[in-house]
Amino acid sequence: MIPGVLNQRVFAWLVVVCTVLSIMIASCSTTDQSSRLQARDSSFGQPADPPNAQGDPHSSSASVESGKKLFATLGCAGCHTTNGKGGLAGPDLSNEANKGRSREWLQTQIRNPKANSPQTIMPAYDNLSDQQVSNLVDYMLSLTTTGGQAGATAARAAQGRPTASVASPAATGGTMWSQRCGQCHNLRPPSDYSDAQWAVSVHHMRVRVPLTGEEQRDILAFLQASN
Amino acid sequence: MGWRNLLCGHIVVLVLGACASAASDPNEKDNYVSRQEYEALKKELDDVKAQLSAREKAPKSQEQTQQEIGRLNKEVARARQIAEGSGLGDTKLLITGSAAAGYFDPEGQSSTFTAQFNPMLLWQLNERLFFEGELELALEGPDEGGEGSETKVELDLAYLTYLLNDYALAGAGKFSVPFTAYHNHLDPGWLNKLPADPLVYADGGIAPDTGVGAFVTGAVPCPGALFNYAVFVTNGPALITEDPESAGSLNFDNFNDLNNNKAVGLRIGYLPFPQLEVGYSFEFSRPNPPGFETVRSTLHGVDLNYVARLEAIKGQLTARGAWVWSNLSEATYDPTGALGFGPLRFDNDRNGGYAEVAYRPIDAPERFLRDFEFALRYDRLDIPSGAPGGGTQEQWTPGIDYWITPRTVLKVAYTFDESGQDADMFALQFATGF
Repeated sequence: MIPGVLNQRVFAWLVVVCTVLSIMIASCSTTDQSSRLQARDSSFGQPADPPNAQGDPHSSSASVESGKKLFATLGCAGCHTTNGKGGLAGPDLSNEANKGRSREWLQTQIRNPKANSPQTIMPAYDNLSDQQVSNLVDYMLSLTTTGGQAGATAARAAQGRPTASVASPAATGGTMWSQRCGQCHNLRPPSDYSDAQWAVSVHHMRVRVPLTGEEQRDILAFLQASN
Repeated sequence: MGWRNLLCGHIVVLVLGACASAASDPNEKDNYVSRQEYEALKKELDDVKAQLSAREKAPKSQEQTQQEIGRLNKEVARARQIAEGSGLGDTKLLITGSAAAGYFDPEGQSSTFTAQFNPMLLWQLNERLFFEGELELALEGPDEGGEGSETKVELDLAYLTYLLNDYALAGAGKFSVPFTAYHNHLDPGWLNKLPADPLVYADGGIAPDTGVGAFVTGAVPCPGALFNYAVFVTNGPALITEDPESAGSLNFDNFNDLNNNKAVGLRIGYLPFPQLEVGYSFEFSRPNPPGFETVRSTLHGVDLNYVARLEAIKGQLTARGAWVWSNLSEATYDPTGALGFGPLRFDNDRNGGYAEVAYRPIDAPERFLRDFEFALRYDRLDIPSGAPGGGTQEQWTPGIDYWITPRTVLKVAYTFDESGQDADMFALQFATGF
C-alpha cells in the first residue's frame, strides 16, 4: 500500500500513541492540578454563572464586582467557560491566576488579543477604559475552580436564588453561538464578516441547524456587536 | 446779605428754567446720548469683542473635546454602516462554500489526486425569504479504458425558504434531505474529521443525501432542552433493477420521479443539554419502476452528536455516530435471465452506520498541540448475502488533523478494512471552508 512508509498497523498505532501522549501531556499541566470534570451549563443560551470574588488578595471587592458585571454585559461567557458554565469558543477562564497569567498579559489579551496569539479569533475590546479593563482582570484573577465556588453556586441554587445573571441579547447570543454553531464546526472570528454579512450567514444557519427565531436574533446581536 | 439772596434766587430761577425746558420736550433727551455715555458704551462693546475673540482662540475644554469626539465617532460609525450595507454583494448576498484537495491510495487500485470546489451562494431576499444555492465542481477520473476524464458540475443545492414564525420555516427545491444529521451538518471536507465519508453515506450507501421536494423545519424550546424537527416530501429514490453490480439497491440521485408516489419522511432531534443531540429519522417511499410496482422502501435512522470541552482531558471531545436500517420489499431481479445475472431474489434488508470519536487538546499548555486533532472512526455496512456486492464491510479509520486556521485543515488517515476485501486506503486531504 505505502511501501516503506506505513505498513500494516503502524499508522494506527501512531495515532493511538499520539492521542494518548497528547492526553497525558494535556492532563499533566504543571500549573493546574485540577482534574475535576466540569459540569456544563444545562440551560440553552444561559450565560455562565459569574462566581463570587475570591482568591485574589490584591483586588478590591468593588472592582471584582464591577468586572463580574462587565463580564456578563459584554457577553464574555458566550465564548469562555468559567467554573463549568459558558461557551466553548475560547479558553476556560476559571484558572487564570493559577496559570500564572500576569495582569499585563490579561490586559493585552483584552485590548489586543492578536498581540498574544496572532491566530486568535477573539475580537479586540479596545474601546474599554483602563478602569474597565482593570476590573475585568481583577475579576478573572479572582476566579478559581475550588470546591468553595461550586459550593457557593450550589448554595445559591438551594436558596432558590438565580444562578445565572440576567444578560443582554448579545451576551446570551454569544453563548448560543458557541454552543449551537460549535456543535458542528470551528467558529470563524466575528471580525471576518460585516454586520450585513453576518445577517445572511446567521439566517442560513437558522435554516440549516435549525435555530429558533430568538436564537437567530440573539446570535446575530452578539456577532454584530463583536465584529 | 442782599447780594447773596439775589444770587440764590437767580440760581433757583435758572434751575427751574432748565427743568421747565427739559419737561417741555422729553423726546429730545431720548434721541441723543452724551459723549460720556457714548464712550462708556463703546468701551463695553470693545470689551465684549475682546472676550469673544479670546474665547474663540482659547483651547477647548476636555468636556467639549469629548463631546466633539463622540459626535464624530457617531458620524463615522453611521458612515461605516452605510458603506458596509451598500457594498456590492454585502447587502443580501454572501458567497461562501468549501474546497478540498486530496490524495487517495486505495489498495489494489491506482492512487490519485483529487480536487473539489463547492461554491455556495446565499441570498437573503428579505427578512423571511432566503435562497441557498450550491454547486459541486469535481474532477472525474478516466474510465477503465483511460478515457472520459472530465469536470463534474452538479447542482448540489438550490432551494428557497420562507420563515413562518419563530419555530417553523418552509422550503422547496433541491435540498439536503434531513435524514439523520450527517449530510445536513457534517459532510463538507472542513467539517468531516476524516478525508472520506462514512460507508453508510458514501457512494453505494443506504442513506439519502439530497432530494427535490419540499420541507418544513424548525426548533422548539422547552424547559432545559430543545427539540428540532423536519418533515419532508421528495421525489424519492429509485430502485436499481438492471445493473448486475447494484440490483436491489436504491439510487438516491433520482431527481425526476418515476411515478406519482413521493417519498415522505421526518427527523426529530432532541438536545437534553447543549452539548448533546440525538435524533431519529424515518423515510418511506415507493421506488418502483415498471415491473416492480409492489416494492416499498422503509428507512429508519438514529444519530448522535456530542461535543464538549472537558477540563479533565484539557481539550475538546467529539463523539458522533449514526445507524441506518433499510428495508426493501422482496423482488425478483432479471426474472427471465435476459440481463445475464438473474433470476435473482433475496431478502433485501440493509443496515449500516458509523461511530467516531475525536480529541483536540485545545487547552493543553503546550501550544503546538492545540492545533492537532486525533480521530478514530468505525464503519460498518451490511448488504444481503444474496445481493450483488453482498456481505459485511467493516472498517477502522484512525486519522490526524492539523488545523491551520479554524476553517482550514490538513488531514491524514489510514483505513483498515476488516472484511477481507483488501480495501485498505491511505488518504490525505487539505480542506477549507470560506
